[in-house]
Amino acid sequence: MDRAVILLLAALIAWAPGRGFAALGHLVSGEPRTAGRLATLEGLGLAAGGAGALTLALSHGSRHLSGVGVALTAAGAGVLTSSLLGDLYGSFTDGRPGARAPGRAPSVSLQAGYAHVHDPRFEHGSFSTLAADLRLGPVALSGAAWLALDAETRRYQGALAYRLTGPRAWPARRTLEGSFVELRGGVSQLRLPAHGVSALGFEAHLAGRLDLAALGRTLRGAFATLSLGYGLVRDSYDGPDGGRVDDSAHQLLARFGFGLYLGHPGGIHGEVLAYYDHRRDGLVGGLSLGKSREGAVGHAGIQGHLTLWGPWGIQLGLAYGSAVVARLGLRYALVVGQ
Amino acid sequence: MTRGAVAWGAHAALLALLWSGLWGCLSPADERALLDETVGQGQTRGARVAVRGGLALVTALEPGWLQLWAQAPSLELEITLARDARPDWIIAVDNCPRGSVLSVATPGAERPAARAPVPVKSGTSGRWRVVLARGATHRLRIAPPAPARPGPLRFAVLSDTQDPPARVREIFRRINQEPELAFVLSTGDLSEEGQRADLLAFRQALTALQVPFYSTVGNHELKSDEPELWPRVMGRHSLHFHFGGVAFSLLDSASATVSPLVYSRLEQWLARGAGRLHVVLTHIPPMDPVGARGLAFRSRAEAARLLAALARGGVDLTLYGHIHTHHKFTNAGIEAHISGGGATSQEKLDGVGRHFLVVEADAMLQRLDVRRVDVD
Repeated sequence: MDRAVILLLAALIAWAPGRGFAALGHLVSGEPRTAGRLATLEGLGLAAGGAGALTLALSHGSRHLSGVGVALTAAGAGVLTSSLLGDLYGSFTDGRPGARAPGRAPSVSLQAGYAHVHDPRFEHGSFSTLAADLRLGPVALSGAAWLALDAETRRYQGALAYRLTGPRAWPARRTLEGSFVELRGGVSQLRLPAHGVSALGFEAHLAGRLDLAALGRTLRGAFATLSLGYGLVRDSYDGPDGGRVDDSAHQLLARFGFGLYLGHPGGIHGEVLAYYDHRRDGLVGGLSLGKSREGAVGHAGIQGHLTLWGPWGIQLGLAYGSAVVARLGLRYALVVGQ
Repeated sequence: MTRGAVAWGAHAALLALLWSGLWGCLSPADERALLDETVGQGQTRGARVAVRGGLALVTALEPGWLQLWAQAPSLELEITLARDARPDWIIAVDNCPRGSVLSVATPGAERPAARAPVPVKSGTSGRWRVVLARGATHRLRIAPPAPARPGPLRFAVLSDTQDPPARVREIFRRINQEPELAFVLSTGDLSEEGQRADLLAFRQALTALQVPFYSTVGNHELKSDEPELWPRVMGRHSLHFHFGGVAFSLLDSASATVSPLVYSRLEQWLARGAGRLHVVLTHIPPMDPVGARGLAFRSRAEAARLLAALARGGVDLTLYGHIHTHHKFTNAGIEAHISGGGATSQEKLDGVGRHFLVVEADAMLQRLDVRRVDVD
C-alpha cells in the first residue's frame, strides 16, 4: 500500500479510536517500537492521573491529600495528553526531520508587545507588555511587566532559573536536542488599584521539556512540557478604615503542554506550544468545565514565537480561562556563539 | 496541495472552531443575573403585582388569587388594580415566618382596605383575604410582628443538602430542635442533580422545617437542562434583605464567578447595609483555605476584588458552601465559614460530619457568634 494511504489511515485511527489508546496510529503505520513507547507513556499517565483522581474522589477533597491528588492528576493528564497527541502528530506527519530545537539558548531575549484582556469583571483591556531574559550558561534571569493602558492594573514578574540539563546559553556547549530540566524560582505582583487589591506571589517549580524525537523518528519536530511547583500568595486589601488587611494562601502550580518546532534553525524558525496551566492567579483565571462548573481548574492556551530575520522575530499567545487574553509582540533573541 | 498543508489547515480550523466555541459560552452568570429582574413580577386580567427587591416568586396569579414563594422574612409588594378588576383577593405566601401579619396601605384612599386572616395552612405558609379598591395601587407588607422584647436574631445556615429528601429531613428535624430560630439560610446545592423534580421534592421536604428557608443558587443547580428553573421554582439567584437590624446579601457564585451585574447590585447593597451588621452568603468560596485543592473562584484576581469590596463595605461575616466540611478562617479580615454540611459525602480525615451552623446576631451590640451543630 502507498505510504501516504497508510499514514492517512493511521491518522484517522489515531484521531478517532486512538483518542482512547495512544499507540494505535503508530501500530497501523508500522512503527511498533514507537507505539510501544507511546503506550508505556500512556500507561504511566493513566496510572498517575488515576491515582490522583481516586485520591481526590475517595477522600472527598481532603485538605490533607488534595495537594498530592491534584499534582498526580495534573502530571498524569500531562503525560497522557502528550502520548495521545504524539500518536496523532506522528501518524499525521511521519516526523519532520529538519524541525528541531536550536542547540543553544539565547543569551539575551527582549520582547515588547501588546495584549488584550477580555474580562468583563475588570475595567482593564489593553496592555503593553515588556519582557527580558538574560542567560549565562545554565543560569537565567528574567523579568516581565504588563502595564494596562486603560486602567491602573499592573502585573510584574521576575524569575531566576537554573538549567540542570539541556541546551544552555553561551559559554556552554551546543546540544543536539531541546530536552531540558530546569529549576525555577519566581516572584510576581498583581496590582489592581481600582479595587484596592494587590497580590504578591512567591513560587518555585521544576520544569522540563522532552523532545519527542527521543521516542521515535516519527515524533521528530514535536516536544512535550511538564512543570510542577508550589506558590505562596500574600493578598493585601484596602480596609474599611483606610488601613490594610493581609491574607496568605498557597497554591499548587502545574503546567503541561504539547509543542512543535517550526522551520529549521539557521532559517525562519520557532516553536508553538498548546498548554494547560493550573494557575488562576494571573489575568487569565481558570476555565469553567462541565455543567456544574466546579471552578477547580486552570486555563488553557497556545503560545509561540518565530524568528524571522537574524535575531528579530514575533511572539504570540492566546489564553482562555475566566478571561480571554491575546497577545502579539516583537522579539529580539540573540544567540551568542551561534 | 501537500499532505502537510492539509494537516496544518485541519489543525488551524479545529483550533479556530475550539476557540470560537469557547468564546461563545462566556457568561451564564450574566444570563442568571438578568433573569433575576423578572422575579417578583406578575400580571393578570386587571391586576399587576410587583414584589419589592424581587424578594418573592409569584407562583400563581389569577384574578382574586395571588400566591408567592418568599425569599425573605419581610415582604413588600404593590398590587395595582384596574377599574374593572376583581376587588376581593386571597394572598397566599409560602415559606414565610410563622405568625406573619399582612398590612395594607392605599395611598390616597379614604379608608383602608378591609382584610381578614384565613387560617394558616402549614408552619411556614400564610393566607389572607383582602378587599382592595379598584383603580388604585395598594402597598402590602407581610412580615412577622415586631418582637415584644428586642433580642439577638438567631438563624441557621445549611448548604449542600445533596442527599435524598428523607436524609435531608433528618437535618431539618435537628434544626427544629434549635430554639428561637428565625429562618434557615443556604448557599445552595440543594440537590445532587438540580432538576425540576429534585427542586420540587426539596421544596416539599421543607414542610418538615418549622422556619422558612432562603437560598441562593449552587453549582449543582446548573446541571438542570432548564436555565430558568431556579427563578421559576426558588426565586432570585442573588438577593438582599434586612431583618432584625441585620443586612443579608446572598450572591450567585454558582459559576465560580460573579456577574458584573451582581457586582453593581452589591455596591448598592453594601451602601444600604452600612452601619449595620452585614452577613454575605455565596456558594463557592472566593478562595479555598486549602490552596492546593482550589475549590474556589475561577479567577484569583476576581476573588480578591470581591473580598476587597466586602471589606470596604464593612461586611461582618461571610458564609460559603460547596466544600463538604467546615472551615473557619478569615478572608480580607472578615470572619468566614465554609459549611457544606448537608451532604453525607463529607470530606474525609477532618473529623467533621453532617452539620449546620447557628448564627446569633446582636444588632444592638454589633456582635455575631457562629457555632457548628453536628447532626451525625
